[in-house]
Amino acid sequence: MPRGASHCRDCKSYQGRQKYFQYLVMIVGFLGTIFGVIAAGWSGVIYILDRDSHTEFKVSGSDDRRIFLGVANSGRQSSTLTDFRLIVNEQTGKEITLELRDADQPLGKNVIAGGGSITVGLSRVLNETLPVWRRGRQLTSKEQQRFFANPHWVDLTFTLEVDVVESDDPCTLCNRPRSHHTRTQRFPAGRIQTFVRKALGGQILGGQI
Amino acid sequence: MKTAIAFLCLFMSVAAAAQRTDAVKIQLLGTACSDLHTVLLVLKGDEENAIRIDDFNKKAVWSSDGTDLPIPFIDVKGTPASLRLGGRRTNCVASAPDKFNDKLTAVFVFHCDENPAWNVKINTWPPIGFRYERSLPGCDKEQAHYEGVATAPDVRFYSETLDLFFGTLPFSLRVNDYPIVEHNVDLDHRHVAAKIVPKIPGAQLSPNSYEVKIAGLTTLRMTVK
Repeated sequence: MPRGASHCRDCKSYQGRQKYFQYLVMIVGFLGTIFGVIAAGWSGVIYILDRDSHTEFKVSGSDDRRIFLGVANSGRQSSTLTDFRLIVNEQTGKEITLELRDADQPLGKNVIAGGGSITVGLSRVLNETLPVWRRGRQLTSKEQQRFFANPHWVDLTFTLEVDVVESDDPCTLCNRPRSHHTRTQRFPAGRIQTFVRKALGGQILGGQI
Repeated sequence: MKTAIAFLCLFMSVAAAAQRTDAVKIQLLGTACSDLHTVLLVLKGDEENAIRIDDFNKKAVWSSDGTDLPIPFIDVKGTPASLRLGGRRTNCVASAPDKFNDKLTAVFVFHCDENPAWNVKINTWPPIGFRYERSLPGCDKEQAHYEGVATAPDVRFYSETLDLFFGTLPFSLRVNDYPIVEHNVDLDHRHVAAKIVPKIPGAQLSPNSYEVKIAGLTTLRMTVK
């Protein structure tokens, strides 16, 4: 092979810096293959993980009669929202039960399609329509007055609990058998101030609105 | 015994869980009251803060949402109320709970009563504070506090009693512009007589007592405490 030649015709190999190029190609090819395998595996894992529904919600605000939530289901199967409870200042054993607003009920908006996201509205439930055992859990008018007649009720924290029947519910063979999942969000009372003032009798500094 | 206590606790917890609202639905049964335009809604006997509802026939559900109706927060169930219909009034009824357009609502179902009723205008001089109390069978006391001038709307005199309560006796008291008490009149300090009845048809004078009687029923009494 002549001095200074860049390619050996006998051994079919490059000389000088170019000889590393073929190794680089091999390494890149190998890494690409590995990456492809991992990506395919990851997609498979995601596909399997997302097979079941997974529902989350965020409280977006309110009007004078309803609390609005954005609800998203990142799974491929549908889920069902079954129960809604507003808890004031993390008081255990006390709640304000809510239900899907009138307009959403005939549309079946409590069913969240796979990969879907919607906005639903929640309004107060008449105590008389609740099971008797649950009526005693409702925040009484005296307790409401104690919370909301205080002009500083905006400093309170609300927790909204939503029971969701995901596609893997009920699970009787789980470590903890369950009939549904309970999703929660804590948020400041001021986010639903119109609802508090008009549906719960909340007062603000300067008098009742 | 334990069972009884448990039931009592359950009852008390359920009873205490009354819900409150500032929306009312008013149903007035009977055809004789179909031509109404303006009515007064008296909640929990508070006639001083009676809620004036104009265009009464236009809708049935009234709320303070988006209106200037001063409806206070009331229990959706069991809140007593009555109507003043302008020349008539209703008996008292208790609210029943319901829900309309996502709002908890206290529903009142009144029966139109065709018995006549009259406004009673009360004037004192000098203007002093006084209270009147209305008593109608089936109703809790309905009352109001005023100073100097007041009008008790739609008093159904044949079955309803109107009591006036004064801290001190005024020099002059007129009911429906007719003098009842005048300066220098010798009056019992505890129970003051109405010498002349207000301008109400069928009224009879009862000169030796301190009560006005109509058709044999005591209808207007005055008390000085």
